[in-house]
Amino acid sequence: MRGGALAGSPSTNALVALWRSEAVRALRRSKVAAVAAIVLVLAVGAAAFASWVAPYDPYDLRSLDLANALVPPAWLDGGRTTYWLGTDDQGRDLWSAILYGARISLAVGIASVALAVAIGVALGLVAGYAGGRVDALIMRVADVQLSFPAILIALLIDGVARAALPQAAQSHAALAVLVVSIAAANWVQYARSVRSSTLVEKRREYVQAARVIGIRPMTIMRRHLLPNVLGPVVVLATINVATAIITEATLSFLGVGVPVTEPSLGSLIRIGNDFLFSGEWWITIFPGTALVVLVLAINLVGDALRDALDPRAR
Amino acid sequence: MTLLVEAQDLARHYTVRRGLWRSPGTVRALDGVSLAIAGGTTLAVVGESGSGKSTLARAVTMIEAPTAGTLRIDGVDVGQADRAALARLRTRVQMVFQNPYASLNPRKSIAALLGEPLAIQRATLSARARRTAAREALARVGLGSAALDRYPHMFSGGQRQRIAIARALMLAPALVVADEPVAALDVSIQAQVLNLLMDLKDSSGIAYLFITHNLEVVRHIADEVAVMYFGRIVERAAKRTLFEAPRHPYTQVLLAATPTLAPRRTPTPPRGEPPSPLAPPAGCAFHGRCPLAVDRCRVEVPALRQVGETWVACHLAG
Repeated sequence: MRGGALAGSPSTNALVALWRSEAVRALRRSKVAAVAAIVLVLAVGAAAFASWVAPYDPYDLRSLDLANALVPPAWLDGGRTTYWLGTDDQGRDLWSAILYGARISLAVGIASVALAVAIGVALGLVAGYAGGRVDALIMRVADVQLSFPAILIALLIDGVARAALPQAAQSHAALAVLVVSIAAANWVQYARSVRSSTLVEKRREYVQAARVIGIRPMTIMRRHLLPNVLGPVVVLATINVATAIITEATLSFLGVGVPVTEPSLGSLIRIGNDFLFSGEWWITIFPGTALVVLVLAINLVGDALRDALDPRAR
Repeated sequence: MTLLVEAQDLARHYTVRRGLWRSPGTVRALDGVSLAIAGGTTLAVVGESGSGKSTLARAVTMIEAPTAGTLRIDGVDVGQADRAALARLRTRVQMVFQNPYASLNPRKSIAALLGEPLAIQRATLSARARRTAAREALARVGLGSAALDRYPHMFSGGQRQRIAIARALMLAPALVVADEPVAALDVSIQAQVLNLLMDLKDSSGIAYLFITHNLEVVRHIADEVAVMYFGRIVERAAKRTLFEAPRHPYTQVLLAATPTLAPRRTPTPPRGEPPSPLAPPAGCAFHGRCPLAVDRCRVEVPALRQVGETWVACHLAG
């Protein structure tokens, strides 16, 4: 049932390897999860290596020609084989733009969720375990945070960043500002989820058992509570990668997000939206499909991961 | 010789908020408990729910500090001890919990669970040495080393409780506090686990603070018995003395209410309900349910005093 890795050397490295192999095993068991994982790996790979995979560089403004604007996909009347998914209103090759855009969307989505999870899980654990005033303080800050819409927080952070940073640094900082803004709006969910699980788990006897052994509170939180409260977080986080990608698109639309010269998946959809009624449907449908497939794959893999990481479900 | 555990007037009071407009109440979960346990002996603490048994367990295992009174382990005052001394004392007292389904972290393998006390308290031990020690502990509770790389959910309740006992043994404690260790188990398994605990006592000289509501279990394992009611010890005596000549009316009612296979007469349950912990009665806490209560019981709290070989907290005993 279990590999020989642990029996040979019960070191941390071996454990990590074991967990990974369990995850891989779970993917092999479920066809849906396996397909989702393959799609995700392909998508992430194509996005990461977009500069090699894509036929054009959509960010190179000199290569754009308005004469090539709004070309339909290759299999339609007026389509050209050089632009198999057509072009947008600027004459950008849509296939290349989708690959580059997916890279930005994924990077922003994953980075902001990672930051939000780190903040939220840490604060939620401390609030739930410490209780009392610490708990009240953290959760009231969270409540205040929740009363601001994500967009407002992002505009605020962006405004501050614009005022504080020199002009030259701003375009470099644009992505970081996006990530911080989205994370600031989302950490509350993780803090609440983790806090409530912690409240349940800390009453269980294994936590008391850990105290009898003489383990310090920080270690109890990290080694005993954290693994037991992380399940819902993994699922929440995968769903939120999708939400973060959409938030990023909204922010880009408001001019706070990525520069218009470097569209993300979200901004491509938004651009295409303006052309839906004039018949140029491909500008929004193809990036939209890419987004749906990407998000679905992430969610399915997230589900499989959650099952794989829970020894009770094995 | 110094006693292993010596508690003097141990108290643990909880403040309970009762809403915005009412003053906070105080629950005296543990109210002036004194007891002593010598090395290698078993003190059974019996009492109904809410009598403060588990609070006593948490105080003795140093999970929760008492609000008043002193606790000495190996003659060292726990309240005054510094970090290093406390860390050492922690290795002397270990605990077995009631529910073996909750007391083992579901995400850790048995090897990790058993190795953890050593990793914390004996940091110099190598991982290999911890594993060897875990294997030996499993053998002592009658489980094979195949269990090491399994997870808690792969075991039955009785096996889990054996694993929990093995974990308590890892630091070679002098005292094991067992809080209802068989209450969550099937009756057929209870005897096995109790016998295991008794075997360990004989082979390693472990002392037990054994918390239970089951008088049959007490009869099986105890050297001494303390009966708790409403946060206080109402009677303390050697097992034989207590079962043959109970002095406190509560103990008498408790013994009479124990179901037997051949009942000679219908058991008489104590009259009424236990009083509310937020509004404790004046005088003896048992007076409302006591068949013998006199006026003095309603005003004066009886102190624990020696009558014959028994310590009893009742004005009328003797």
